[in-house]
Amino acid sequence: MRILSIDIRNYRQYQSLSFMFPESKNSDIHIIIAQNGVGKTNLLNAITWCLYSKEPHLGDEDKNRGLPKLNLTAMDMARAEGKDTVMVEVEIRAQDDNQHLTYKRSLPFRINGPEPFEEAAKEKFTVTTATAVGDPKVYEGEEAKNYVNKYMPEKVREYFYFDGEQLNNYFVSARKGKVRDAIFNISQVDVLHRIYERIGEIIKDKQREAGAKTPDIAKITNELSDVETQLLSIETKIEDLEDQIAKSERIIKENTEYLQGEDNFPELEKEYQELKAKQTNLTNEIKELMASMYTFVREMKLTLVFYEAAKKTLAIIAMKESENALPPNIDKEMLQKALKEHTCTVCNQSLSADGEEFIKKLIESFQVSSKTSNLLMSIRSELERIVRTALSYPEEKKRMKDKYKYLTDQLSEVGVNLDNIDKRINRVSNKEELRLKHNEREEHEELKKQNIEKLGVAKDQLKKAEDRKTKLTTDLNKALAKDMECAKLRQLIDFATNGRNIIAEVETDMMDEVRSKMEERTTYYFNELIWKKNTYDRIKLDKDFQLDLIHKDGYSCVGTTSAAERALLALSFTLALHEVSGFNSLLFIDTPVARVSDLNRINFANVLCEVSKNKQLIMTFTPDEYSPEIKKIFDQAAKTKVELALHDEKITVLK
Amino acid sequence: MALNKTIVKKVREKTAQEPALGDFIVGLLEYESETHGWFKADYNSFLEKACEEEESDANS
Repeated sequence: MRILSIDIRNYRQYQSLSFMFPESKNSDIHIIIAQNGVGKTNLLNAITWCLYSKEPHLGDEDKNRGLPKLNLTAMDMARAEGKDTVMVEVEIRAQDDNQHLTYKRSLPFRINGPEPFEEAAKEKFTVTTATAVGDPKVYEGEEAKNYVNKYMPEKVREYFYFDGEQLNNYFVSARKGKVRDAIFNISQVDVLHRIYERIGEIIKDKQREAGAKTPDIAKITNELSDVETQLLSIETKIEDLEDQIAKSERIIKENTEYLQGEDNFPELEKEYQELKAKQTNLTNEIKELMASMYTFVREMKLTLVFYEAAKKTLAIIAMKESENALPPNIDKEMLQKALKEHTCTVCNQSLSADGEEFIKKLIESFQVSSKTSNLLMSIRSELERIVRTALSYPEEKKRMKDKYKYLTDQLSEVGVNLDNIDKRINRVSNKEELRLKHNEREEHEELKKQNIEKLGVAKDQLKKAEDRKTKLTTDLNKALAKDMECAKLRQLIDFATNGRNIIAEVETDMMDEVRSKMEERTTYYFNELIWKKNTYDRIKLDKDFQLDLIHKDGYSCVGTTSAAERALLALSFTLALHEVSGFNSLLFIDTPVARVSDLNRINFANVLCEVSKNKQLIMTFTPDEYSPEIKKIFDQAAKTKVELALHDEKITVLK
Repeated sequence: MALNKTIVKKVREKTAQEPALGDFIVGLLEYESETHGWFKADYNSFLEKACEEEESDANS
């Protein structure tokens, strides 16, 4: 289907503007150029509003300001003319082979009520069809919607009308399953599935009908119906588990790619904290050692000063001792006691007068010498301590120095490691996100493990239910064969079952084929679009059509691609989707090259020129985006090119 | 939505020996490519007609 024209009246910036899209044999490219805010995206919104009553491309700014659909200049003019209502209208004229279609949505606004403007009635949507010879027919309500879904199904609208921002977010996780469903919708695999299920219901009805005729059949049919319900439930469960496992695998993969190089970020942070603690401990230990060293030096200073003198004094003492020049150490008190008691304190015999006289003289003669001896003896131990301490000084000093060196070396090593880790951590701009990704990956690794176990159990249940179904089907066929009345029903059931099996085979073939073709064509378009010709090997699609880009070296690298590369991937995927699905619809891209650099723009323009030979392409650009590189190509190829401007900052007009 | 020709081709290939079955499935595909509400009566009618055709094919 091609769009022939779009007429917009009183819709947002558009007061009254018509876009014509005439066909050309060589190319069906149509270019619209406008500055930001002039109405490029609202042209896209006008289309989606007309067809689906939705404006999915409104920016937050518009939503926040709550701008009305009604063009305010049109409102002022209508008031000046004394009108009560103004109609917002978008009309799209399209053609599919010989069928002409006009989609028209209108919404009247009351402009003279208590509010500045309010909707005067509900939206009205009509589709007018006509053939080449006329015969117009107007449809409303569900019938009109059917004509939208026939040519531009709402379910898959975002694969026909999308903006540049969508290109960048095309493959985010949340879209999982949605892409697959959309592709199956476009390629009509879902129609096959619908037929498969509906034939299944018809078969059940026929079996019940046969069952009503004979009780045996009724019993088997009921049992078969239960088993089929059970099978469906197990299959749904398996599908859910497989989806969850696939989702976990994708998240693990995406996060692993995201965390590439910073895979162990949380461990790195932990290591950093541990090293920090070690650094603090070492610093404290060094401080304590330094304090001990100062005390040691202070104490040693005195010892070392006295060392030589102490050594000499000890030598003198030793010499005097060896010469017996020092009196023996006599117990004076014991002698005085003996004198007092006139008895020898050793042998306990009475002392003679001579003996007592000798002791008296001895006490007198030893008085001075003993004091000297006692003094010398008392300082001797201190002198020995001084000498001993002084002699241990070099060893103790070495021990302390070694310990100091060991601690400072450790501290220095910790400092270097901390610097390295700090640099690695600081290279990461989005630490919080890294932590989240890491945690999310761990959660999904655990979840995947649990789901794989559950999947095993579910598959076992499925096998048992399938075996039961096979047995019941055989029993049913036998029971039906016995009953002649059921022969006709049996024939219908057999025929429908054969048809159902063929549908299932075609569905499987189509799913595999669509995916394989999608892989091939997406790879082809991406290779045509991308400027790096020797970096990527191919594109892979999983069963959910989640895209993976494989590097020449064999590893997956979709998570590490730039915004421009992601935009080109999305565009390649979309072009492949249009081609593989064979769905004849236009492609409208709002600001497609916003994230694409100059060289890529040339590839982009060349590829789209090629695509436009079989497809209508409408693209909007800002003047900056419509750079000389693509202008040179598109100006020659485009069938139409219009520039829009904002008149009086309110109304979009053709420049 | 216009019918996907690849699907039709595959159905025809797989039912080359049973044209009535092929007609039945293609008929359903055509039916489903348009939008309909209640389907059971139509499906039954398709099925019965297809079975009759098959029978007449077999007899001839």
